[in-house]
Amino acid sequence: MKHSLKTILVALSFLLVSGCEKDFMVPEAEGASKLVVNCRLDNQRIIKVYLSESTSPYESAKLKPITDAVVELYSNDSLLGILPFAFTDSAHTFGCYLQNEFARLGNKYSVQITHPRYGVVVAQDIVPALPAVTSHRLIQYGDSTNQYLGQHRFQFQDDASQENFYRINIWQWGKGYVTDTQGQRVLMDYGYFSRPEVTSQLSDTARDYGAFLLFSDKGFNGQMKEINMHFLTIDLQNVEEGNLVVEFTSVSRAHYLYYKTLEQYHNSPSGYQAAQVFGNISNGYGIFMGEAIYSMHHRVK
Amino acid sequence: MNYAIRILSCFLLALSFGIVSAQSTISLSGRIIADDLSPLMNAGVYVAQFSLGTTSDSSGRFQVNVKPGWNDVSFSYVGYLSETVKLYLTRDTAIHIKLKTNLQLNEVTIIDRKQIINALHEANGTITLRKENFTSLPAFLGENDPMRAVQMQPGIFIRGGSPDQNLMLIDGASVYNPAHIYGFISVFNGDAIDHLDVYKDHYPARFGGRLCSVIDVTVSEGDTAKLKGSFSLGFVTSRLHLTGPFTKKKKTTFTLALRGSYIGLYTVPISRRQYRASGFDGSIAYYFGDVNAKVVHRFTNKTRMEFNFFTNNDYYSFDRQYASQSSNYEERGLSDHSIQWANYVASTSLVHEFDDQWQMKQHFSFSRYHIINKDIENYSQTLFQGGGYDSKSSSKTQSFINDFTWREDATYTTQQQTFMMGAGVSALIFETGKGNYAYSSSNVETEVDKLEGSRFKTYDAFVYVEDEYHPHEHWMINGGFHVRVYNVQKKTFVSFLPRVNVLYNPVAKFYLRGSASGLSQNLHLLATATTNILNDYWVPATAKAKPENGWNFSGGMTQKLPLNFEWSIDAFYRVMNNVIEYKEGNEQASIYTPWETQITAEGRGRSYGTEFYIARTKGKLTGSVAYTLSWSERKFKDINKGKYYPYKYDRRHNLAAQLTYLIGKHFEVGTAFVYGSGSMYSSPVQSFHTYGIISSYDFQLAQGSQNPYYNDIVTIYSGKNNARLPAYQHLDVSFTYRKRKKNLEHAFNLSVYNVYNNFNIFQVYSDYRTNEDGTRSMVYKQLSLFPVLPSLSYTIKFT
Repeated sequence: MKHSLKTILVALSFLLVSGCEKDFMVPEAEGASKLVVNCRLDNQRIIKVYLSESTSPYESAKLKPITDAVVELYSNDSLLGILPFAFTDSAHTFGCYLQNEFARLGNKYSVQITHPRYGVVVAQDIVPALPAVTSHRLIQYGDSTNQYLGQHRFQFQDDASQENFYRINIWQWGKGYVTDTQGQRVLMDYGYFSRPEVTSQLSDTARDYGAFLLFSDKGFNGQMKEINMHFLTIDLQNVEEGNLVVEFTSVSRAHYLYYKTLEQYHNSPSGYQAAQVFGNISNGYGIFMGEAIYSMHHRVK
Repeated sequence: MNYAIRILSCFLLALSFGIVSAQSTISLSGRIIADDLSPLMNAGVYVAQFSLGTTSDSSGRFQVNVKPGWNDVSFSYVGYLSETVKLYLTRDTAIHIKLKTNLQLNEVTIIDRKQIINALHEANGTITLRKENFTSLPAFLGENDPMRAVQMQPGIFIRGGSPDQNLMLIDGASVYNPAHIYGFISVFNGDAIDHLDVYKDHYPARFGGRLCSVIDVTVSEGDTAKLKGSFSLGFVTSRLHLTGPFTKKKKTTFTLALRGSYIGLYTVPISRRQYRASGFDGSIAYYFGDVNAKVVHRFTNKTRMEFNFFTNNDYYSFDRQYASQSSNYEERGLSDHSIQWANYVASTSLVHEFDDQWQMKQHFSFSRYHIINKDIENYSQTLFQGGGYDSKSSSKTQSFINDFTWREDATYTTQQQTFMMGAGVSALIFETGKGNYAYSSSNVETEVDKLEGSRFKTYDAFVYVEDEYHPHEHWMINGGFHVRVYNVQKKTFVSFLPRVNVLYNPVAKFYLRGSASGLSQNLHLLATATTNILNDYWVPATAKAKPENGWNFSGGMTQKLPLNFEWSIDAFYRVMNNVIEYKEGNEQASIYTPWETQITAEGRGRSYGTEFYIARTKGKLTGSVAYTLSWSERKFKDINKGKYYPYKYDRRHNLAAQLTYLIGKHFEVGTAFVYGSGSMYSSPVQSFHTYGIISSYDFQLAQGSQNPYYNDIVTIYSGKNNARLPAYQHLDVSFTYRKRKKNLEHAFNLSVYNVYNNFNIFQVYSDYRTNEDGTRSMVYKQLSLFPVLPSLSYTIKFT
């Protein structure tokens, strides 16, 4: 009797906690694959339209470039041309559709993509005008005496007739000496980006991957605005030629919303519904966005 | 605001001075039983010459105040022959009445007005569940849970509302988290409960503060005759229940019910063994206990005072240790999480009857709900070449609600109507996420961060007027209004909430009803996406997250059929304003960020649906089937592109069926089946690469690079809460053997919960699975707490 009771108790206990965890899938929620269009239109780089296809979120996501689409690019509703596809690496893993010209400021661009599997996919956006920078100055390029802290200032006039969006990128590039594995000093190209820390008051801000800063003109619409910022510099001791580029960019609303929501997406806790990333692709995913880059060059060595 | 509070205070003061000395009456009490000795609930007691009446409670007991001298007292019950006795009374008297079944009764012509009113009350959509309703259900873990009986009714859970939108009261005091074991067992101990009323169709004006429903639980007052009790020993819980008078004069009675669960004694060793089999070391522990105590003192036949105390304490812990090794290093880790939550409720009431018509009740209550989360995470990595890294972090946070409430209620009863009015004030303190976080590592000395959390003090005052009017024996109209004044952060919100409920009895045993209610509530529940209530946080309405308000409209019909059958159909539509939700991407409360910055407010909600119910309420074979078809949706400007989406608690189909059969005098067999659509959650539908536009390679592109070497993957959701978890369902059976010997009753209960071992989802979380080709893909994992679960209990009752 005692043995039976013990057996029953153990069996019941085992049932209590056994098999409590299992995998399950929710295939009914899975959507159809769509064409993904990624394109940044600006005044300093040739136009590249990257096409791929979306995949199941439950599978390992392998990048599958689309090579058999017909990509028509329009500027102000006029056909610029049908873009040819070109692989961008020797292994023919990546590629894009190229238009060998920069985007023109103030123009409306649109793209119509026809694909045998995904049908017709369209997108459009504006390439804004250049930001009206009136002055800029590199106040300090940091070194060991000031914890490698750089300071930069510029002023610009905001356009009162519309809501404007901006971004600031800081690049540092040049040539410097490195010691190779044989202990030889070798002159090599280098390139870094720096995170701008703006001390001027801004609202409606977002960070592009925690680094570059995006903001709207909320709070200074139509006004002359001064931007003061600092950033980390590099040690120029082994640098032969050093450059600093502060890019101040007017971006379209779509561009701003994309990075704003992308930041929210990355800040979403794992395992819960992430914030939805803004997209402007009709019948597809991705982003087609314009920007106008104003570059402030400074030779630091 | 000050002016409003001053007026309210004067009104309350005027009410509180209203108690006057008692008139000379005597008490007639007793018990009404059927010819098979079963107690008759809601049997009518009527003293004709004084137009006095009352009804019996669940144990058939009644008490009525009469005047000395001759009294003609009638006892009646539907389906039984009425009995009239002529009594000459000079002092408090107790009698027992046995009514005989009227087998020839086909069409009853009821002439007792009280019975008409009772019948109308039964048909007006309010669900009253007494002890026999929940003791006849199959036991779960040996427990006869009153809330399981509630779930057997249509429209539960409750018409698309969230848990915060249901007002849970125990003897008039709020209970904020009425759940043990994450909602599988309620905190209400069936031994201590006399009855509970569920208001989901119409909201009498005396209730306020919630948008969906009121569940009003009444604890037994205590047996006036002698000390009685029971003791139950079960597989995972044990209970002790005592009730009786304190003194020989029997003016003071008490009820005491204790319950404890030691399920952790089983889960710790078994889960430890299972984890070891998976390469881990860890365990899951869970314990709970609760106490119900009530003391009633009757100063006179017209004045009595009640003291009620209730508490539950729950403890859940989960710890896991792991160790692994590679060619270069060895790593070890420890995760230890524990949650402790508790309700503490204390209340006192003074009830006085001025005369046969006026009654007044003063009530003061304190209710506290708190939840304490503790987390410890330790990690160490030892390099075989020497050196290594270690880190330790721990956090402890506490959230609580303290609720102090004082209210006054006055009731005036005549033949035609029952008029009620009252007022009350509540002071609430909400504290969320206060605690500390400590961190240390090889590189960082111990840092302790104090988590301030958020703290709010709120004040809530209300007045109401309610009248139940019977213009004709076929009509009942309940109407009134409830006004609430709410103050938080120096901001005042006023809600004027009209209520009306009409019941019409066009033909015998057939009732039509309709109601409209204005509703408001001054607190919110922040609901997480897929997990359980303990990840949901109570927060007060604030200047940003304004008080919720809305309207509920419902209509239905009920018919009583021969052979004790009855059926009903109801439909409802509810609109809600100012509901809140986490912002997109903030689906989980962060203890490091104030909750107000994590939410989006001023949302709208709507719930609508229809309910069907058929039951047999008396006889050897009783049972019911309840089905609810409903929709519940939310809409926020910043979520789901501003469109309506299914709410987490949208339960499209809800079916509850139960059957009980008495075999002879000693055996009872019961079965229950519950099916509910799964909760809504957000499931990704596709993912894509941001290939080509990452700023990180702007530089490379600018320098002429052709190879974007990095890309990011973005997951796409077709909409918020676009998927539904698998349905929740289980079939339970129960066998009970009862044997009575003199004053002792022995009961053996064998019950099996979840007979066909369905894995009902308790929690869902995302994880990754390594495929055969070495790639990883996402999977959702479910945690189920209770597979098929037999339980055995023995109960001894002494009466």
